[in-house]
Amino acid sequence: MAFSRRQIDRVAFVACLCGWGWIALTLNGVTANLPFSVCPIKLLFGVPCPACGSTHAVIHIVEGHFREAFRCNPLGFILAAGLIVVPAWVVIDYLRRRTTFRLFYSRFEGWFSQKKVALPAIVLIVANWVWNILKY
Amino acid sequence: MESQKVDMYLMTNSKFFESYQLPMIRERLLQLDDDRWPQLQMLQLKDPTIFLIVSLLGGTLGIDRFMLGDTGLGIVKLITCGGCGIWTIIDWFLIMPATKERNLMTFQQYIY
Repeated sequence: MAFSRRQIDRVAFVACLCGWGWIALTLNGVTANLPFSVCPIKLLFGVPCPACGSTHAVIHIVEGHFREAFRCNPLGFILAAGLIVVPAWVVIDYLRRRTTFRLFYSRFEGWFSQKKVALPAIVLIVANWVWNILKY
Repeated sequence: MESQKVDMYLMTNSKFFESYQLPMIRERLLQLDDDRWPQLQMLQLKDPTIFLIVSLLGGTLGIDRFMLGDTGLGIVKLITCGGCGIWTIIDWFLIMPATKERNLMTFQQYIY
């Protein structure tokens, strides 16, 4: 992106706000009335992507229905955790004038780029995708 | 480095960088020793057009970001349906400047 890595905390904060905004729109039924699917893969091929259903999964998690959330999309748990933790982390960092989130982000990238981490993650994502295709 | 060599390098590799970056790159290359020319030739730069194609085809899955080395953004893009499709579209326009920016970083790492 045209932003530097120094701005990653701001980008993450704005992305989380957009995420909450999207969930609010879904709760108000705005997204259900859209004439098209927002997922480009579903729109083009008629097949859901690995993340389809995660908005409803997050909503189920917020309401406390964890089993339904898992059935919708297990990725919802990661998203819900991110949506809660990241904005709080960025705000705390900003108030304390620290850069712990930025440090964590670059360390996480390094850790995730390792083959022993990336390969199981790819397998899990593909498995989840297949399950998603069978579900919808 | 000789200005002829530098100009030749810039002519063949200008597509990898933003146009406003080229004078700075030229300046740096002119200051560089001649014996680093073979190394410069082997510098792995990413083609912005390839990234645009990847972004158009696999942007929803974050493949463009993974290829660029932005693993974190790639994961976020993957698990959010490409930012509900909106980020995918934004990235069609941002991926080429981002690739050129990354190429400049690679170049600067080589220079220093």
